[in-house]
This record gives sequence, structure tokens and C-alpha cells, in this order.
Amino acid sequence: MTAREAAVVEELLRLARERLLLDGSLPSPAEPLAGRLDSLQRLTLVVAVEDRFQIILTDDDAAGATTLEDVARLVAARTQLTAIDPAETP
Amino acid sequence: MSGRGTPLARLRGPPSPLPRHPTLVHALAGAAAHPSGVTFVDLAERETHHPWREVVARAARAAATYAAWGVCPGDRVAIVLRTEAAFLDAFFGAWWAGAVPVPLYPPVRLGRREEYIEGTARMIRCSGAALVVAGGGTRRLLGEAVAMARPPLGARDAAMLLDGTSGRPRPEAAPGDLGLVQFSSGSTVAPKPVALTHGALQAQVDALTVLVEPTASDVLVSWLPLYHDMGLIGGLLGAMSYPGPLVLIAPEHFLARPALWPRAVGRHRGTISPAPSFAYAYVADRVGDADLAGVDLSSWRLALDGAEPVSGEAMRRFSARLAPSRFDGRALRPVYGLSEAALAVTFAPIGGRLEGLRVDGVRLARDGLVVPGTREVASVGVPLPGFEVEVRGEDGALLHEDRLGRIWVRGPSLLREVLGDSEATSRALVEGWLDTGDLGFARGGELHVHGRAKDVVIIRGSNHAPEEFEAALTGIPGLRPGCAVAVGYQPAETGHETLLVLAEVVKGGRIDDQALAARATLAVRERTGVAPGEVRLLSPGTLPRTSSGKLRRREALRRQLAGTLSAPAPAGPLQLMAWAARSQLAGVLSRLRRERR
Repeated sequence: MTAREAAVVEELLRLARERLLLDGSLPSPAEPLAGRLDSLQRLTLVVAVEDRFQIILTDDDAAGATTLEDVARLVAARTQLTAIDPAETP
Repeated sequence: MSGRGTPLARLRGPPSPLPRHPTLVHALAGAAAHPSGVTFVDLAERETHHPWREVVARAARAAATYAAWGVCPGDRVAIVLRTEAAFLDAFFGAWWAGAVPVPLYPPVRLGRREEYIEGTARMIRCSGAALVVAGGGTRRLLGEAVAMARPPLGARDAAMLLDGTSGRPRPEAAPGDLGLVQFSSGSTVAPKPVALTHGALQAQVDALTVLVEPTASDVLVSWLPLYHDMGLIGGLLGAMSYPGPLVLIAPEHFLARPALWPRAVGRHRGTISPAPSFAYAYVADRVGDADLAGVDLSSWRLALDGAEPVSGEAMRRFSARLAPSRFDGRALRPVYGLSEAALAVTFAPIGGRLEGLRVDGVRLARDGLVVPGTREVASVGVPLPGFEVEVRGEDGALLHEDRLGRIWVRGPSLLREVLGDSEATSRALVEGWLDTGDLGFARGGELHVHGRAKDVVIIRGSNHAPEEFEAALTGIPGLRPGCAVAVGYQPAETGHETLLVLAEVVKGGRIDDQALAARATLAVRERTGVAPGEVRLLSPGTLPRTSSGKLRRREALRRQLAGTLSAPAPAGPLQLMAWAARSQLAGVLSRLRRERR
């Protein structure tokens, strides 16, 4: 994982805490999300990610991503570094 | 409580209204003259408006494209699109081409790729779709499903539907023609393709129109998926046929930001908006005050609650949470229906009773008798115009009120058939009556639904096959292989349908082994995406079986609810008497203890 991807993972965990109301039991970056989140939570996470980073993950992309690392790679490939700074989120 | 003196559980709606149009295709043509239209709201509350005139003109162009692709009248077209304008092009375009739309659910994102591909391929095949229309972003994913199912005309990108410049004239649709193939909700039960005629669709929409009594000031707001009945027939087709304004939010956007829903109702002065119980609870729990600042919901006159077991608790919480935004709790009205009846079968009368009947859950489960108690069961009201409901016993005989039995339905919008499955069709339709597979009772002329005769588990509006949950438990050390059942039920405390897993431990295992229960919970969630509300471990041999050794899920749930699922040994009449005596004794002892305090 690159430093950028690691920064995205941090931001994804923050989204999971805030949007999915998960606390304590956050998935680790390489863990399959299907084991930790139910289908509604996974769908909600994708939309939250799109909203936060202002990107669109196609169904093809999203279906191939199974861990937070996978999602972070997709996001990092589509965004500018500056957009990943957590400080700028409202 | 039953028998003589109690009326029979036969409920009849008022007569069917006259059809407002020969078919909804005629209604679509008529909608073009109306100034209203469809508004899509996105996650950032940006809106895109399409007048009905434009929707119809695009449908005519899409129809020309379909014809150019080789689609003939009567062909089925599978549509895999989200809540977006392209869905309207693909759906109404298919009608305009004389074809039959088959909406399929788009992929659940993040994972379960293989299951999605297999399930979708199966649905394309068993609906007999000639063509698949999808969005560009699903091409790789659907490509595999299409390669497996091999529809004769292949797969096309929905964006190309508007490539043609000239439209086609309106086709000659007849009420007896097939109008829609819809699959039951959810992703995991092998869903059956339910074939509905144009006449059935028109009849359902007409019956809803009588109940809803729309006026020129009505605005329908919906975030429900367009790929099954409540969002499609109740939402899109209802608004189109009236016609009137429709405001659509994508379901995944609602889930990510539930405030979008009440805010859209407020902004558009929405009057009609349906949802399942879980969504009312979801909004009550997750929408903050800041999101509701300045939101006025006083226009919301019909908040229909259906598509899964109705929870009085969810309705009350929603009503209390949104009262400061001037939401009137009397707008909440439970409904009951199923995809095999196009959509709705019963409808709670106006009056806003948010309190259900309080019955004794144990007597209901054990004896099928309705006696007063603490368990809440909501009334889902009376049959729609043109519909009849009967509650029948296992032997098929009509029961009296206050007796739990199987719900049968007759009416003008029942399925024509389960496509390509005459056996399933003749199981579902018997002498013009539909066996809903749901259990319920009548009380005071109103239907109360309580559980299902079939084993399907409905979690948050999605149907699941119990076998799938049970299969997730195989190979867990400490559990007896193949000796577990998964059932859905509504615990009194939450009101949500919850997954309950009853699993036997191996010989010598402990039924209080918390770590084992946790492993079972994790395995089910990992495999199915649904977390069990409870995993209960049982001694070997506790689960009821048929004479051939098959597990009896319904019976297991009945015993669990009746508090009698604890007997490890095979039961003879003497033992049964002994248990009954013991449970009475336990009751006496606890009463004595209370009195002594």
C-alpha cells in the first residue's frame, strides 16, 4: 500500500465510524468486508466514499473490491492527493 | 374465543372500479399531455426534471432502437439499471415496442461478485429474456452473466437507446398481453419470475387509485427500488397513470443519507410516500435535527408501510421523531401485498391507529388462537377494491376470525403464471385463489399478518432462503453437521424481522458456549451478508424433524416462541404430559415467589 492509499484507508475508517455508526469493530484494511459489514452497510459505504471523494465507482469497480485496501486503491487512482486530506472534510 | 358466534375469516373489498385505461401503455400515451413529470434527486440534492411529455417521447425513440436491435412484440427485455432516467427509457421503451420489461436488481456493491453473476444469469435465463439492457458501468460484471445466460439478442448499453432520432407510434397493447415479469424482492431466494398481464397491472393501479383518491395537488415521493413492485407499480406506474408529479431518490442514496427522504417530501410538498417498516425506524434513528431544520412535512398525507412485516413500534418512533417537522402520524397506514398479486392486497383504513392488537404470542404460536397478551400484531386493514381474502386451515377449510391460518387471496391483479414453471403456477394458484404462503388471522373484518407458512426469511425487505444461512454453518467444529435451522421472526422488543439460528451442538457440547455462538454468527454474516439477531445452541436431538428426518423449521420456531424448544429426548405422550405439568409447576412456583416478595 502506498502512503496515499494508507491515507485513504484512514479516511475510509473515519467514514465507516461516522456514516455506518461502527465503532470498536472496524474492519482491518486487508480483511474481506463481506465478513464484517452486511450488504446495506457495504452499499452505504460505497455511496459515502463517492460522496466524500467526489468520484463515481462503477458497479464493475465496486464488485471487484473486497477489502478496504481495494477500495483505497480505486480511490487513490481517481483522486488528487489534496482531495484526501481529512482536514478539509466538513 | 373461536367457533360459534365468531364470524368467518372471509374479507371482501368493495367492487372493482372500471378501468381508467385499457392498459397502462394507453395511460403512458395520455401522460404526455400532463404538465408534471419525474424529478430525480441525487445525493447532493441536485435535481433533474423530466416532464412526462419528454419521458413518453424518449420511450418512443427507445422503442425504435429496440426494434432496430431486433426486439419483436412479446419479447422479454431484462433491464439492469439503477434509479436513473435511463431506467424510464428502457422500461417504457420496451412497452412502446410491444415488448415485456423484466427489471432485475443491480449489483450490490463490494463483494459477492460470483453470486451476483450466477443469480443474474439464472434470472435472465428463466425469464426468457431476448435482450439485456444495462448501464455502462456494469458491462464487465454483466458480461459474465450474459455469457452464461446467452440471451439471443445479447446485451446493450442503455445509453444507446436514444440513438435513434425518430419515434415509433404507440403499439396496440391488449389487457391480456403480458405486461411485466417481476421477481420477488431480495437476492437470495431463488426468485421466481412472476408474469403479470397488462390487465393485472391496470387493475392494481386502478384499485390503488380508488384508495389513494389522488388530486391535482398530490406529489408522490419514493426512494424505493424501481426493480420491484412497491417502487415500480405503486410508485412509478401509479404516478404515471394518474398522471402526477413523481420525485425519485436512489435507494442507495437514501441508505447513505436517510434525511434525503423527508427533506425531499418537504421541499416538493410531497403527499404520498411509501416504505417498509425498517425505513421508518432507520429515519427515526439516524436523521439529525440539523437535517430537519426548516423541513415541513405537513403535506404528507399517506405514508404507507408495507413490503415486510409491519412494525407498530417503527411507526410510532417515526411519528414521534418527525412530529416537530409537522408530520401527522395519522398518515401512516400499513399495507399488505406480494409480488404475485402485482403489489397490494389489503390497506389499513384511514384513522391512524399506530397501536396494533396485543395478543398472547405463545398461545398464537402454540394453539393458533388469538387471545389478549403483550405481543403486538399490526392490522393491515381490509381488501382493496375487487379483492377477497380468506384465512384457511391446513386442510383448506375456511377458518373463523381469531384463528391463525394461511392467507389466500383472489382479485383482479394476480399473476398469470410463474413463467416456465407450471408446477409452481399450480401450487400458487388454486381455482383462481392465490396461496400467499403467509399466515395471519382476521379480527373485526381486518387482516393481521403474523409469520409465514413458507420458510422464506425477510430481512429489511429482502427475501432469503433459510438453506443459505444454514449452509454457512457447515464445517464449524462443535456444531452438529446439518442440524441447524434458520428462521425469521419479530422479537416483541424491536419489531424488526430478525434472523434466528437454532443450531444443535455435537454430543457432549455445551449449549452455553458463547465462543461457539459467536463463530456461528460470524460465519452466517460472512457468507450471507446478514447478521443473525440470535444464535441459540441446542442439545443434540432438540430440533423437530419429520418422520423422514427432515428438519421442520416452522415447527422449531413455533416451539421456540411457545417456550417448549428445550426437550432433548424423543417425546412420547407421557413425556409431553410431564413437560406440561413441569411448566405449570414452574408457573405456580414463580407466582408463589412473586407473592412472597
